[in-house]
Amino acid sequence: MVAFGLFVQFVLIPTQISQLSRAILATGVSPRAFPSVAAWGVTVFGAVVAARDVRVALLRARERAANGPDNAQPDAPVREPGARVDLRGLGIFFGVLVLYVALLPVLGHLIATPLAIVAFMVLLGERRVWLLAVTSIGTTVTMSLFFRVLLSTILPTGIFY
Amino acid sequence: MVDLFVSNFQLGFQYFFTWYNIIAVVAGVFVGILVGAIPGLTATMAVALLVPITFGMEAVTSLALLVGVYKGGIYGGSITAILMNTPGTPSAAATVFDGYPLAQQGKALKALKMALYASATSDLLSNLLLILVAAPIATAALRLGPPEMTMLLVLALTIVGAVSGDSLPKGLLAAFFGMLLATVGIDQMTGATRFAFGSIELTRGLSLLPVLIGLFAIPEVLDHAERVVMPSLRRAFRRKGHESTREDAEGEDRSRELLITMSPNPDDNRVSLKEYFASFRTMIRSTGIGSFIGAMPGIGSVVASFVSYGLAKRQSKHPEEFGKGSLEGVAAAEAGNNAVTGATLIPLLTLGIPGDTITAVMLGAFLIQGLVPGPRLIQQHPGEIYGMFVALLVGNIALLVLGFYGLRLFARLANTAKSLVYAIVIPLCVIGSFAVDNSVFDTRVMVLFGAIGYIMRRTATPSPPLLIAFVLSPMLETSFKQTLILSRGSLQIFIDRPIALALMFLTVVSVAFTAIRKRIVDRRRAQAAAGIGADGPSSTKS
Repeated sequence: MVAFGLFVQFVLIPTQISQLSRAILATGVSPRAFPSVAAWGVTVFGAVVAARDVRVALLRARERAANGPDNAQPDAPVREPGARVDLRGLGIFFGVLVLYVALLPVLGHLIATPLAIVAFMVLLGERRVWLLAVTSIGTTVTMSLFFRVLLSTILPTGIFY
Repeated sequence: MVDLFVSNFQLGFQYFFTWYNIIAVVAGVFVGILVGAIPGLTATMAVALLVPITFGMEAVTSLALLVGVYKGGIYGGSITAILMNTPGTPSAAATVFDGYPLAQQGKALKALKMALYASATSDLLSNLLLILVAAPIATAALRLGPPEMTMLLVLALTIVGAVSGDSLPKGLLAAFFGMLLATVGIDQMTGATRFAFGSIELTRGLSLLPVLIGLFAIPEVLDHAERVVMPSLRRAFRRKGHESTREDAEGEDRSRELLITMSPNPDDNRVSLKEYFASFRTMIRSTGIGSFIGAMPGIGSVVASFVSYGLAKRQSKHPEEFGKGSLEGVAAAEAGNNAVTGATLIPLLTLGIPGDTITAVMLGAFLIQGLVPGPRLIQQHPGEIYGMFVALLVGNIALLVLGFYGLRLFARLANTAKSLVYAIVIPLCVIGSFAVDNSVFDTRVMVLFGAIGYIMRRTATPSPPLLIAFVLSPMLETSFKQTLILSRGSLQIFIDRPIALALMFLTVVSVAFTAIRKRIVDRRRAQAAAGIGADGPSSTKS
């Protein structure tokens, strides 16, 4: 976040926000001022968080060295204890999500959504074919009717209609 | 003043009492309880998903639906807390302490009913408080000028950044990141384009709904996927060729089902009037605590339930029963968290400042309906706002009725629906993000913020400060610039105006107080850990 804050401050703000002359600014506050304050905030607090993380890591390492590997305190859990972290599964799931969003304007809601629901359900462990079919088609049709009839919103139709 | 209140209330009744609105509030409570009862899904997520659906509805109908979900969601978390020892929502964490021991003693229904009565009681009182104080506060807030509003928003942002999550720097980091994201698009005061990268979509700025859906709905699904996808794929490859079963579908969660067991003793399945009134004082106290905490921006229902529980234990005639199945403990925790639902709407409706994450999400619903929260909201839209107040009161009745008669149904639905809900949530998020502006770009923004929300969750960085800063900082920037126009560029105005100065002082005090309190807590934790560490090796040796 420190690098991001500095990148915003020194690269993005000068190139992506025009600097208006003081004469046309009734307030005397440049449009760069607020983003600049926010970017400094991100930089400073990013640095504080990073420094704390390094300090905690060093303390843990020292504790491990003093107590030996068997008696060392485990790392503080970021999530609930016992939860397994498997980034492969997450990557596959997120990949399907990205694919769904990318294909939605091409295939349209009526094709992309049932396929996506089937894919998500299979990834989450569902194998019963009838349930896959009923849920994917039922949800898609219900959503279409709800948005089209009740909310008068046309969902992406894709290139086939 | 009283005449105006009465006439506004009559108007609210006229606006609310249609079949659509009654169905909306009942459906909202139903969905809220169901979502709350599924561990991992929160009321915030349910409200975020429903906001795009409310787009085509009348203002009162949409607000009725969302307040119903809010109420139901906060209560629904207690069902899993009591039956499964796992809070369905974070706000029900304190309910576990006594709810689960009661269930283990065969008194699950008694605990569930006490949770329901305490929730409904405190919810009603908190709503009455909202109805009584909203208009006077809004009238007083009308006198606040741009300098006072600037300082009030700075105070709200620092409180939100400071109190959300465990780490003050992480909260403030998230808040500044939210401020930065809010500057994307055209600067309203100067017309300058910021961070558009030549994109027309970015010139409009980042829309609120994709940001909030991404931040609050997607990470919950990704969190679930992270635990479930690989084991499910492994099982699928192992069992290739075998007939699939329900066990396959629900995997490891099969053993963790919500089961309500009836006790042969009828007294264990109900809460008598005597038992209810024995805890009534605790409920009132917890309602006071929950309402106070709810009215403070950023603190929320989790803190309210823990503080209420702690105080109830300290003040109880039977503190030794707490943690072992005390009905008073269940009442305290549930009254504390449900009292927040009305109170968090006070800063939103009167000052335009969301009190917690759900009200930040609801702010999006208000804006979609053309209702801009702030001191002028009640004056300009009395029918809609008092209609929502009536919906809050009707929602209490719906909560009581659905909670009383539908407990078994909710437990059964939560069991069967949990494998399906996660799969359906994603298309709802995508289509919901698309539907507000018919924009494919918004669906991509939603996915991006889903990834950001997930990373924040993994790094224990709170996301509420990001969202609330994203919502508040355009208001802050505008009021700051208006102040400088008033003062012709001088910052002295913040010192010359007494209310602005007082708010500035409060901001400094709140940050200092939070930092000092954090340091004390950290030191105590370190001392406790050192104590354990010192004991550990010696005990191992002995």
